Amino acid sequence: MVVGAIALFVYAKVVSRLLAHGRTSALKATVFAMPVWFGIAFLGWAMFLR
Amino acid sequence: MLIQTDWSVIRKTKWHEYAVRFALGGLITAVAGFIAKEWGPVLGGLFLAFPAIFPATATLAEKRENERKHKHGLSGVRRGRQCAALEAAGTALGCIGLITFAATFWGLLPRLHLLLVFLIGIVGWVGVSVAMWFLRKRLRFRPKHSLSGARPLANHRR
Repeated sequence: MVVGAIALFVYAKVVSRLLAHGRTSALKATVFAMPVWFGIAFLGWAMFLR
Repeated sequence: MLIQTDWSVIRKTKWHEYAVRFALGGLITAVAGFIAKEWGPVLGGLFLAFPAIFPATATLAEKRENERKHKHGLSGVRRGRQCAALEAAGTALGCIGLITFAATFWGLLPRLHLLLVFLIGIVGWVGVSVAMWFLRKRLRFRPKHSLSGARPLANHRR
Protein backbone atom coordinates (compact mmCIF):
# COMPACT_ATOMS: atom_id res chain seq x y z
CA MET A 1 0.00 0.00 0.00
CA VAL A 2 2.96 2.33 0.70
CA VAL A 3 4.27 1.78 -2.84
CA GLY A 4 0.75 2.18 -4.28
CA ALA A 5 0.30 5.45 -2.35
CA ILE A 6 3.63 6.78 -3.70
CA ALA A 7 2.44 5.90 -7.22
CA LEU A 8 -0.88 7.64 -6.50
CA PHE A 9 1.00 10.75 -5.35
CA VAL A 10 2.95 10.94 -8.62
CA TYR A 11 -0.22 10.19 -10.63
CA ALA A 12 -2.14 13.01 -8.89
CA LYS A 13 0.74 15.44 -9.49
CA VAL A 14 0.82 14.55 -13.20
CA VAL A 15 -2.98 14.97 -13.51
CA SER A 16 -2.81 18.28 -11.65
CA ARG A 17 -0.13 19.59 -14.05
CA LEU A 18 -2.06 18.42 -17.14
CA LEU A 19 -5.27 20.09 -15.96
CA ALA A 20 -3.67 23.28 -14.70
CA HIS A 21 -2.71 24.20 -18.26
CA GLY A 22 -6.38 23.84 -19.23
CA ARG A 23 -5.78 22.04 -22.51
CA THR A 24 -6.98 18.59 -21.45
CA SER A 25 -10.32 17.53 -20.01
CA ALA A 26 -10.42 15.84 -16.58
CA LEU A 27 -11.52 12.53 -18.11
CA LYS A 28 -8.66 12.46 -20.63
CA ALA A 29 -6.05 13.56 -18.07
CA THR A 30 -7.09 10.97 -15.48
CA VAL A 31 -7.24 8.14 -18.05
CA PHE A 32 -4.04 9.02 -19.95
CA ALA A 33 -2.09 9.36 -16.68
CA MET A 34 -3.14 5.87 -15.55
CA PRO A 35 0.00 4.20 -17.02
CA VAL A 36 2.02 6.45 -14.68
CA TRP A 37 0.36 4.76 -11.68
CA PHE A 38 0.84 1.27 -13.12
CA GLY A 39 4.47 1.99 -14.06
CA ILE A 40 5.54 3.34 -10.68
CA ALA A 41 3.48 0.83 -8.67
CA PHE A 42 4.84 -2.22 -10.50
CA LEU A 43 8.38 -0.85 -10.64
CA GLY A 44 8.27 -0.34 -6.86
CA TRP A 45 6.78 -3.80 -6.38
CA ALA A 46 9.47 -5.41 -8.58
CA MET A 47 12.29 -3.51 -6.87
CA PHE A 48 11.31 -3.71 -3.19
CA LEU A 49 8.48 -6.17 -2.61
CA ARG A 50 8.89 -9.16 -4.90
CA MET B 1 -7.35 30.92 6.57
CA LEU B 2 -8.97 28.19 8.64
CA ILE B 3 -9.99 24.84 7.24
CA GLN B 4 -13.79 24.74 7.27
CA THR B 5 -16.49 22.23 6.49
CA ASP B 6 -19.10 23.25 3.93
CA TRP B 7 -22.08 20.95 4.66
CA SER B 8 -24.16 22.50 1.85
CA VAL B 9 -22.04 20.54 -0.66
CA ILE B 10 -23.74 17.33 0.56
CA ARG B 11 -27.12 18.67 -0.57
CA LYS B 12 -25.71 20.04 -3.85
CA THR B 13 -24.14 16.71 -4.82
CA LYS B 14 -26.52 14.58 -6.87
CA TRP B 15 -27.33 11.00 -5.83
CA HIS B 16 -25.76 9.49 -8.95
CA GLU B 17 -22.46 11.24 -8.15
CA TYR B 18 -22.40 9.44 -4.79
CA ALA B 19 -23.43 6.21 -6.49
CA VAL B 20 -20.55 6.39 -8.99
CA ARG B 21 -18.00 6.98 -6.19
CA PHE B 22 -19.35 4.22 -3.95
CA ALA B 23 -19.59 1.77 -6.85
CA LEU B 24 -16.02 2.43 -8.04
CA GLY B 25 -14.67 2.37 -4.47
CA GLY B 26 -16.46 -0.90 -3.74
CA LEU B 27 -15.38 -2.42 -7.04
CA ILE B 28 -11.68 -1.70 -6.58
CA THR B 29 -11.84 -2.94 -2.95
CA ALA B 30 -13.30 -6.22 -4.23
CA VAL B 31 -10.68 -6.40 -6.99
CA ALA B 32 -7.88 -5.77 -4.44
CA GLY B 33 -9.33 -8.58 -2.28
CA PHE B 34 -9.42 -10.92 -5.28
CA ILE B 35 -5.82 -10.05 -6.26
CA ALA B 36 -4.69 -10.59 -2.64
CA LYS B 37 -6.37 -14.01 -2.60
CA GLU B 38 -4.92 -15.08 -5.95
CA TRP B 39 -1.44 -13.51 -5.95
CA GLY B 40 -0.78 -12.62 -2.30
CA PRO B 41 -1.43 -9.68 0.07
CA VAL B 42 1.55 -7.61 -1.13
CA LEU B 43 0.16 -7.25 -4.65
CA GLY B 44 -3.36 -6.85 -3.24
CA GLY B 45 -2.17 -4.03 -0.99
CA LEU B 46 -0.70 -2.26 -3.99
CA PHE B 47 -4.21 -1.94 -5.46
CA LEU B 48 -5.65 -0.45 -2.25
CA ALA B 49 -4.09 2.82 -3.47
CA PHE B 50 -5.35 2.45 -7.05
CA PRO B 51 -6.88 5.70 -8.42
CA ALA B 52 -10.45 4.38 -8.69
CA ILE B 53 -12.56 7.13 -7.11
CA PHE B 54 -10.37 10.07 -8.12
CA PRO B 55 -11.07 10.05 -11.91
CA ALA B 56 -14.84 10.10 -11.23
CA THR B 57 -14.49 12.85 -8.62
CA ALA B 58 -12.32 15.04 -10.87
CA THR B 59 -14.64 14.55 -13.87
CA LEU B 60 -17.73 15.37 -11.81
CA ALA B 61 -16.07 18.45 -10.29
CA GLU B 62 -15.15 19.69 -13.77
CA LYS B 63 -18.69 19.08 -15.02
CA ARG B 64 -20.29 20.86 -12.05
CA GLU B 65 -18.12 23.97 -12.45
CA ASN B 66 -18.76 23.93 -16.19
CA GLU B 67 -22.53 23.85 -15.67
CA ARG B 68 -22.41 26.59 -13.05
CA LYS B 69 -20.61 28.94 -15.46
CA HIS B 70 -22.97 28.00 -18.30
CA LYS B 71 -25.94 29.14 -16.20
CA HIS B 72 -24.44 32.64 -16.26
CA GLY B 73 -23.84 32.46 -20.00
CA LEU B 74 -20.08 31.94 -19.67
CA SER B 75 -17.78 29.20 -20.88
CA GLY B 76 -16.81 27.10 -17.90
CA VAL B 77 -14.28 24.86 -19.65
CA ARG B 78 -11.17 26.49 -18.20
CA ARG B 79 -12.73 27.00 -14.77
CA GLY B 80 -13.86 23.37 -14.65
CA ARG B 81 -10.40 22.09 -15.52
CA GLN B 82 -8.77 24.34 -12.92
CA CYS B 83 -11.22 23.03 -10.32
CA ALA B 84 -10.28 19.44 -11.23
CA ALA B 85 -6.57 20.43 -11.08
CA LEU B 86 -7.09 21.66 -7.52
CA GLU B 87 -8.79 18.36 -6.64
CA ALA B 88 -5.72 16.57 -8.02
CA ALA B 89 -3.35 18.79 -6.00
CA GLY B 90 -5.37 18.02 -2.85
CA THR B 91 -5.25 14.32 -3.69
CA ALA B 92 -1.44 14.49 -3.93
CA LEU B 93 -1.29 16.04 -0.44
CA GLY B 94 -3.66 13.37 0.87
CA CYS B 95 -1.36 10.72 -0.60
CA ILE B 96 1.40 11.75 1.81
CA GLY B 97 -1.10 11.11 4.61
CA LEU B 98 -1.97 7.78 2.99
CA ILE B 99 1.71 6.79 2.92
CA THR B 100 1.83 7.58 6.67
CA PHE B 101 -1.30 5.46 7.25
CA ALA B 102 0.12 2.50 5.37
CA ALA B 103 3.56 2.82 7.02
CA THR B 104 1.86 2.88 10.45
CA PHE B 105 0.13 -0.43 9.69
CA TRP B 106 3.31 -1.92 8.29
CA GLY B 107 5.39 -0.96 11.32
CA LEU B 108 2.98 -1.40 14.23
CA LEU B 109 0.57 -4.21 13.30
CA PRO B 110 2.69 -7.17 14.37
CA ARG B 111 3.13 -5.67 17.85
CA LEU B 112 -0.16 -3.85 18.66
CA HIS B 113 -3.89 -4.61 18.42
CA LEU B 114 -5.56 -3.98 15.05
CA LEU B 115 -8.03 -1.35 16.35
CA LEU B 116 -5.27 0.61 18.10
CA VAL B 117 -3.12 0.58 14.96
CA PHE B 118 -6.14 1.69 12.91
CA LEU B 119 -6.75 4.59 15.30
CA ILE B 120 -3.09 5.67 15.22
CA GLY B 121 -3.13 5.35 11.41
CA ILE B 122 -6.24 7.53 11.04
CA VAL B 123 -4.84 10.20 13.40
CA GLY B 124 -1.54 10.06 11.48
CA TRP B 125 -3.34 10.41 8.15
CA VAL B 126 -5.33 13.46 9.28
CA GLY B 127 -2.32 15.08 11.00
CA VAL B 128 0.09 14.63 8.11
CA SER B 129 -2.47 15.63 5.44
CA VAL B 130 -3.44 18.85 7.26
CA ALA B 131 0.23 19.61 8.00
CA MET B 132 1.06 19.17 4.29
CA TRP B 133 -1.78 21.53 3.36
CA PHE B 134 -0.45 24.22 5.73
CA LEU B 135 3.13 23.66 4.54
CA ARG B 136 2.14 23.98 0.88
CA LYS B 137 0.15 27.13 1.63
CA ARG B 138 3.06 28.64 3.55
CA LEU B 139 5.64 27.86 0.87
CA ARG B 140 3.38 28.91 -2.00
CA PHE B 141 2.29 32.27 -0.62
CA ARG B 142 5.42 33.34 1.25
CA PRO B 143 6.27 36.99 0.45
CA LYS B 144 9.49 37.48 -1.54
CA HIS B 145 11.19 39.58 1.16
CA SER B 146 11.02 36.72 3.69
CA LEU B 147 12.85 34.41 1.26
CA SER B 148 15.80 36.77 0.93
CA GLY B 149 15.85 37.57 4.63
CA ALA B 150 15.28 41.31 4.05
CA ARG B 151 12.68 43.18 6.08
CA PRO B 152 9.59 44.58 4.39
CA LEU B 153 9.75 48.22 3.33
CA ALA B 154 7.16 49.30 5.93
CA ASN B 155 9.40 48.06 8.77
CA HIS B 156 12.41 50.04 7.52
CA ARG B 157 10.49 53.29 7.79
CA ARG B 158 9.62 52.78 11.47
